Amino acid sequence: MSSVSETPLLAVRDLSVSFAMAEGGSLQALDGVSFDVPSGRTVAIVGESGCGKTATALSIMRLLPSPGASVDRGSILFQGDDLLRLSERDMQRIRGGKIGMIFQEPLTALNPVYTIGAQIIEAIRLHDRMSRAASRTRAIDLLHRVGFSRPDERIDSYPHELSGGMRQRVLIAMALAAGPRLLVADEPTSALDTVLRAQIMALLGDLSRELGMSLLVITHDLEFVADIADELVVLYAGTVVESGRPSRVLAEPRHPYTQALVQSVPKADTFRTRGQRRAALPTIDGALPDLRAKRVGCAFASRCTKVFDRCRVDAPNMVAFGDGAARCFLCERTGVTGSAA
Amino acid sequence: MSDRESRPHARSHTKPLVVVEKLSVLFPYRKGFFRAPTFVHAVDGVSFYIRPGETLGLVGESGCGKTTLGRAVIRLVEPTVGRIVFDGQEITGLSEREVRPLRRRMQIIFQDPYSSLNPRMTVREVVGEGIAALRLAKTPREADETVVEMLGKVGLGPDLLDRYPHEFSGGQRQRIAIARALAVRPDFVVCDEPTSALDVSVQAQILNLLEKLQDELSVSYLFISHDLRVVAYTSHRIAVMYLGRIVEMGPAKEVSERRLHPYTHALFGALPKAGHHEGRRERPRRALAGEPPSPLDPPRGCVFHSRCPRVEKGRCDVEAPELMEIVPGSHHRVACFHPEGTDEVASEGFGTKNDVEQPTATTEPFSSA
Repeated sequence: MSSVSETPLLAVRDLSVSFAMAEGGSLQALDGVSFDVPSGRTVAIVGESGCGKTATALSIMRLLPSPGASVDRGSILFQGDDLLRLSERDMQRIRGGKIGMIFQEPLTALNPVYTIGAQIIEAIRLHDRMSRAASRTRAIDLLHRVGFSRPDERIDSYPHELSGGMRQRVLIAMALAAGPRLLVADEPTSALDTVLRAQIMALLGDLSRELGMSLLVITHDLEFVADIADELVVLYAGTVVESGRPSRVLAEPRHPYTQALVQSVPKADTFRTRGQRRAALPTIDGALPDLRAKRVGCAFASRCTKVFDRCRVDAPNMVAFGDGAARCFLCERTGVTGSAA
Repeated sequence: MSDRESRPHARSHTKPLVVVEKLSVLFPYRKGFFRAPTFVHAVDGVSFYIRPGETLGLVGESGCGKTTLGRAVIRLVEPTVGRIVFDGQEITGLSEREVRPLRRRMQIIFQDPYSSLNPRMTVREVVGEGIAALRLAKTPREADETVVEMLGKVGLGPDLLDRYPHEFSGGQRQRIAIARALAVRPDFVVCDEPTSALDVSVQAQILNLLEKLQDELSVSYLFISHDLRVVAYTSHRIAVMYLGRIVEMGPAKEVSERRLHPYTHALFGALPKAGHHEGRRERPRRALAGEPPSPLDPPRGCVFHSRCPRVEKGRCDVEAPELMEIVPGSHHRVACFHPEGTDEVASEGFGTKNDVEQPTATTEPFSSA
């Protein structure tokens, strides 16, 4: 990235979050997570269920359930301020103001009894004191921006009159209402089919470019997000295991987890022939480590095909190489953990 | 399998197990209480067959009718017009009572393993329910043995028999749902988006499992998904569905590589290509813009013409193309007057003449893939 020298818009440092368990004890959702979102750039946090993606998003928005969740260490610097130390009042101004957010469920995030226009106008007027007429004009402009062809008619639609893809566009319009510097999108495409996934990801990428807005996309969809991201951050069991340019991460993943993840995506280049068995798709055997237990060694050691003795005892650090970094001892020696094939 | 010999279809491997002819499912729809109902053609004149031990993949966008079609084939949704022949017997005219004996042979696996399993039933009860209902075991002990055997086949141990669904992860629940469907030894299973709610690495496990079980039990699948990669990987043949109709059908390799229908072409264009990303500067995607028109008001002529870059005015918007083979004997059928690779049509980009909502984001030129 070219703009590394300037201060990033958002800097997450050593963030550790735990959840209290009903049966006692606690679960470590995030363990020392660090990453930057530079100004005007798109960063994607990717990983599977239980990796800590949503905990990361909720920490940034200060929406972690309380009581229940606690931030044990770390800081979240946004334009120089540590969001974790702001008063709730200051945080309310930032939330939906300088930082916009899109939630996971486009089908439930909208209020069914109000028109989409009323909901967008509410979001505009919450952060910007403008007249009803002016805010309606702005809402129409926002709907146009997110891809509505007849926004002046559609503004009076109710959510149930719109498809899932269109509702997601409305939520994006609402998140843009206050002209945020950073948009946090938590699984913006997980409820959508592949065509809509490509459309919504492309829309987010274009908006970020047009508006000079930073984008933090949190998703399990490694490949769809790779199209728009400047940087991928791969999370596993609450730790960052790899980061780098999407083209490099997908073509030459360095961490054994990323390698296994990339390989487990079915590709439309091997086909079945009737009556013939074929090699199985690579999978990641085993399960996530118990997040309640104290961590020893590498979080991926129990499922790693390249594991050796040291992995079960010591926790590896992030090892930087030319175009990224990976948390693996094998990268220390060679920089590459063997070919992905 | 010990009961292989007793399977009627085991005699012949070329005779289709399931034949669907011109099947339509219409749902009545009222615009107002006092108005006469109009009909939505959720499925519109669909024909296909599935051979024993074969997977037919059915792919399409949300709302294209693929789930309705899957359910209609096993008579969970009542077909309005058309014929379904299962193992030589027409089942379309049968009463619910007459269909019952066939239920054992036709099963379904649903998308969401969080809601498809009864939370109050143990694994033993969930997997054993069909065996008990159809009286497939003589004694409870025999039923239990079958349940344990099925759990073993899907990779779950006998120690889990008395656990409840909430104690399992999404992937494990889908394994339980698969064990439930296969416990009654069906010949045909409709898999309705079985991996869409799962993580990628878990999806790979479930796809492997379904394939392994098919090889062992020679069961046929109708595999429904919106994800073309999954369908192309897991199926022997693919049917591409758009607005209630099949627009292209053929061997998975043929359809994936030739993509005769402009819609199939666009679906493949919307897929990310692993390892070929050059960041945000360049996005040479031929993405499909807009959304399908409402099935309440389907376009005249070819259903895809409103989004098609190869549309011929005066023909595609008037006449509906039939699904037919371009190369005789190839078993690769397409419903299009101007299939890809057959002639030059002005490159206008997708969805430009579209009446549905236009996103600003996806207006890439119609470049070669």
